[in-house]
Amino acid sequence: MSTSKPARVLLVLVLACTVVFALSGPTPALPSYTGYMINDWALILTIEEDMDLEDLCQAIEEETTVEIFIVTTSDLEGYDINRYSYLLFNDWGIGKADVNNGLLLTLYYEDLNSTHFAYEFRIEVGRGLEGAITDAEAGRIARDNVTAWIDWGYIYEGLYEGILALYYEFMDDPSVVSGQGDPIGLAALQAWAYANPLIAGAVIGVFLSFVFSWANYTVVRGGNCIIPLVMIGTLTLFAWWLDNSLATLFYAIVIAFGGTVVISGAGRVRSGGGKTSGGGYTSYG
Amino acid sequence: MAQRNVLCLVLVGLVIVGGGIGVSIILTYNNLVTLKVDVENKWNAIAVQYERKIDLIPQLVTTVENYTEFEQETLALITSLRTQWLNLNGSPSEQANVSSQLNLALNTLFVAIQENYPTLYASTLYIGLFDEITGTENRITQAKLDYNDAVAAYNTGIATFPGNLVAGIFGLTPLQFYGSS
Repeated sequence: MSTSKPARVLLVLVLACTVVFALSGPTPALPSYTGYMINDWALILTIEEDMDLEDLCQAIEEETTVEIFIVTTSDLEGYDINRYSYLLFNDWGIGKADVNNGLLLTLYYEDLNSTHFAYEFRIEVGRGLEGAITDAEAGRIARDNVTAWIDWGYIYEGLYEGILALYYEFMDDPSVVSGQGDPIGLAALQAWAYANPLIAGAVIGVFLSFVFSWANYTVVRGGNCIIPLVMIGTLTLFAWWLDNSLATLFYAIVIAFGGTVVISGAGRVRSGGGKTSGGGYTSYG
Repeated sequence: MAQRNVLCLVLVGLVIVGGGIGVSIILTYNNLVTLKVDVENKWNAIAVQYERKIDLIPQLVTTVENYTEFEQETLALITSLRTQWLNLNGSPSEQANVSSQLNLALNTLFVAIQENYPTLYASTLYIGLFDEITGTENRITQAKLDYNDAVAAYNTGIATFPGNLVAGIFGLTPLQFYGSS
């Protein structure tokens, strides 16, 4: 054996820690916020349908400030669909915080065999929308506009018509409109960068690659390399600050090194921090 | 001279350790109290949702009354349970007791309506009301689960170190979960 004794002890310790952490196990964790209103985790919508619904929901958000999110999933993380929707809604903070005007449409989808599927569907209504969309109305819309389609396999049609029907319920109600204005100043810049991480990343990436070659130049030809290094650090911190995540920074670095980014990096939305107290309707397929 | 230095060091050390213990006691105590207030808050949320359910009952009774000739007994029972509830002054165990009786009576009524009164069962008004009651049940369930989560957080807080010492000093006792007697 070439390994020394301390190294072996260390190895055993690391292994022991790994086992302990693995055994202590993660508690059922909810999916983290994605930045998109349509989250088709069950992969039952085509890309066109997905984008179409995303456009519809974002248009509604722009007009009325009401946030409608859709989640399709084949894994409820060990919860029933009611608890899952409730926890996800409050965790993501769907709807604006001052009026709690959020809606979450959860579709639990399970393939039984090649021709049949089972599903559960829930409309979770935010606290502020309970006046405009009572449980009775949520139930009517879920039965007549959504599950009537989904029963025959028309998922997209059901969701689209459901969103429209819900929209007709609250569109003339002034009480669901958030009073929070658009962000101004630096917050507006941050909001823009969150919505368009790819463009923000490209801009930062161009600067980053420029400063990077400057630093190279000073190292090779001699000169003060402190300034370009500090600028690299500043740009990196700026990218991080810009959207509180590493997405912009990731795009920036990839672009700086000349890579191509092919993942969806535009049109993200931030949720407003709304709450639900469990109103809505569940259809058990 | 050396002895005085050692004494000084020991004193400073004691002050630092004592201060650290004091600060950690204050922080732990504040944390526990925050958790307890959260539990009380969640308890009130359950009470609010129960009230919502109780408020729906007169509406249900008036809707159903005209259709159902033979269910007067159940309706009378539901009405009397509602009155009992209103006279309870919010005692938790009593509330839970009356609420479970109420659920039994409501279930009897719903099954009877489904089996014997197709016109009522198919009427928009009744379907809407049924959705409201189901929705309220869901709110109550979510509030109860939230309450139990808060109780679990609080109980864990006073059972683990250093919360157990602080809880011992200030006499904080574990709280009961909803649904366990």
